[in-house]
Amino acid sequence: MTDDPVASILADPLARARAAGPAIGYAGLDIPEDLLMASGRLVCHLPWDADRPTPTADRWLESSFAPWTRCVLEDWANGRFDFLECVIFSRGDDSAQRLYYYVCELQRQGQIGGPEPLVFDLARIPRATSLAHTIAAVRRLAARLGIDDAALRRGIGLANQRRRWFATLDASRQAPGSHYERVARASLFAPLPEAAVAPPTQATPARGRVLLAGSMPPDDRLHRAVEAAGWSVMGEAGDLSLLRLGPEIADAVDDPAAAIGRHAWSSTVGSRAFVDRATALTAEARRIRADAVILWLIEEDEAPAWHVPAQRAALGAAGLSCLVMTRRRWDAADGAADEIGAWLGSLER
Amino acid sequence: MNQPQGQRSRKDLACTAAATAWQKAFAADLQRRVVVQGEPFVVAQADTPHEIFHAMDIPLVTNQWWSAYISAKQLSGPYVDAMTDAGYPENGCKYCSLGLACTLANDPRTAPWGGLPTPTLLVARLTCDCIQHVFGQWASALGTEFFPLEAPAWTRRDPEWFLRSNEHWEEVYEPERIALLVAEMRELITLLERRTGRRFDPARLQLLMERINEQEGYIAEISRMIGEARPCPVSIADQMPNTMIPQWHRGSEWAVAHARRFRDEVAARVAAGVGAAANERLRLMWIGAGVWHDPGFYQALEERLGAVFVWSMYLPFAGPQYIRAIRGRPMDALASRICSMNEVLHLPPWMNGWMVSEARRCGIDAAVILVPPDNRLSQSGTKLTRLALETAGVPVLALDADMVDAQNWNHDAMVASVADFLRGAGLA
Repeated sequence: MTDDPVASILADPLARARAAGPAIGYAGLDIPEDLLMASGRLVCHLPWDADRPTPTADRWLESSFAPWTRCVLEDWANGRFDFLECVIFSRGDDSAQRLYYYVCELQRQGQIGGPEPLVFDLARIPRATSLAHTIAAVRRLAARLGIDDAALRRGIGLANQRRRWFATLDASRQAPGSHYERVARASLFAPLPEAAVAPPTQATPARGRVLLAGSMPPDDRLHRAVEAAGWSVMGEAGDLSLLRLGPEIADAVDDPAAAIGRHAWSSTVGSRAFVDRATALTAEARRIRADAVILWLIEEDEAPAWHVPAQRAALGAAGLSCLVMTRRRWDAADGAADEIGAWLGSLER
Repeated sequence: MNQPQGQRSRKDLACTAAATAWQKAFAADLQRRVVVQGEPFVVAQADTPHEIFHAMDIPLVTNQWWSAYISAKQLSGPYVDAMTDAGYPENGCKYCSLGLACTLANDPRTAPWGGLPTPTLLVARLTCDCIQHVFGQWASALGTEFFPLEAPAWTRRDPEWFLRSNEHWEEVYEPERIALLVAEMRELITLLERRTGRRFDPARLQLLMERINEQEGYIAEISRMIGEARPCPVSIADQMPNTMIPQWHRGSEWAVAHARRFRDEVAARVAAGVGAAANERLRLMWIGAGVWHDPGFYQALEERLGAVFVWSMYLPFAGPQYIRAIRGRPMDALASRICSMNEVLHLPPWMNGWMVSEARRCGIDAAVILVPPDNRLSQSGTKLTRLALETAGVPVLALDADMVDAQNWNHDAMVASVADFLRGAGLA
């Protein structure tokens, strides 16, 4: 392990969970952080590696699954998650929820072992019935994990602390964008105390400010492509943004499960969120004072692709330059970095 | 790019012509009601509670039927091109979005019916990530509202769900999931009553549900006959229209009568020993939606190899997924029919469990499975189902093709690939 906790976590994302004793895995970035933090166990998103072959998982998963699911199922089949008490999958994401059913079935058939799969049955339709369903899902999962209301309140407090820290970090970006991507990613896998993350010592000048939008990249490779051109990613409009945890939960005194459920139901994270994506993207670009927007979507990410024409039009109307990259490879081995560099270079001429 | 080369299918049953003629007349009447007379109508996905609209006498355009209609008129290519020209990536799901494409293309000269007028509502279950985006944009383009339905998680994972679904539906489909859909249907009814001025009559739904049980009972009987009879009395070219056309009108007097007529005609063929093919040697299973742009594909190897497609999901699905013991709770029984309609066809363990059971029941020699490259929902479960069938001794060929987009389909090449597969498996 290195002295840098972020680098240390990313070098072996499961190391702390393995050493922690009881630990819970999860899959899906819309599972409430408050609920996870309330569990009293170490919680760890199942990690991925975009560059590793997945021959076993490829036998079971169809081509349209999100690529991260292949890494997860490959590792699951290889017993890498056997030490986890259980793994929570989100129903709010198509790949995550389908993976839940596949894992259950492969376990039933005896083809894989591993921890017990659970599902967080997140409903997102802006309607009272869906809100009630989501709140019931929070209560069900809390009961399954032995989490009482006092623990839920503690979880909300811890998640709110993280929200405040991430908001401060995001508002005071001085280091290259790849630094913030790594912090956000590392925070999925292990506790990441604020004090352990060294603030940048000095501002790094950049030729321009980029908003990176669209699919979740596997790591900081797109950020580094931007930096190689002398620019910097100053914000992400995607599921792994530093702001993905949303606003703080303030009304959790009487019924913390209801507060968590309401927060998850109304979140703007995830492909099933009901949100005007063109307006949201333009607003985010303005908020971070972006000079350019890169909208990068991988082949398997079908849902956000339906908003590309509206997003392109909205950004154009706002006078924002935009590079639209659709149907791309998740590992970016399709020349994405070169295209980004060339496009940013062209903006300076 | 290949030009569409779809071929017509041969129909053997007299009732098939009657069904298609009725559907043609219905489509003309539907067009008259919604386009000429401007009646309120709904556009809905196939896996939504059509019974609500039928019970309220609200005309319904089913999205999948509309897509197949567009496809059959050879318009899918131009509309897909129109979407690409508008900036949509080419890998969008065609089955769900051809209607949106038709609306966005905005060409009344070529569009069926001159294009859809504005519906009262669009209704869809959110069974994949794309649907809310496609239907949301379609509703905006049509100037109306989208009423989504949740597709909640299902933790009671019984691979033999089909054995208990008629009687023990509450246990099989889970009370909470049923209750959620009932609550959503009640809101849908309230909205429809407000928008259309038409009233929902619970007694009418009860009657409809009883008639649907009768209708699907006839179809289930046919399914049993097909499983047992040698040779297969009716090919899937006849099975599909005689099942699906009444299914769009389920519970109507015509639909019940037609299902009975279909049953009688099949029974007569079984009694007479008449087969769909003169020389049945291989019994094939078709897994997936129909290839609507090339119906002749299914009969192309009957004469040469004696290979008969005897199984497609539409007919055998009716028994386990539609028949419900009502028990004075028609809304709950209806919800149990709808709340997993997609899941049992596209997710493990329900999909593979049922397919293996059906392959055994029907004496299937080999299966062909459709894997649309740009349709996550339809792709889903295909690999585990393939492995399950192969483990059960049924060889499987996966075809990368789309059910409504003919642009990458070549009839001769696809037929040849099936023939090669059968030879490779030592079956032909």
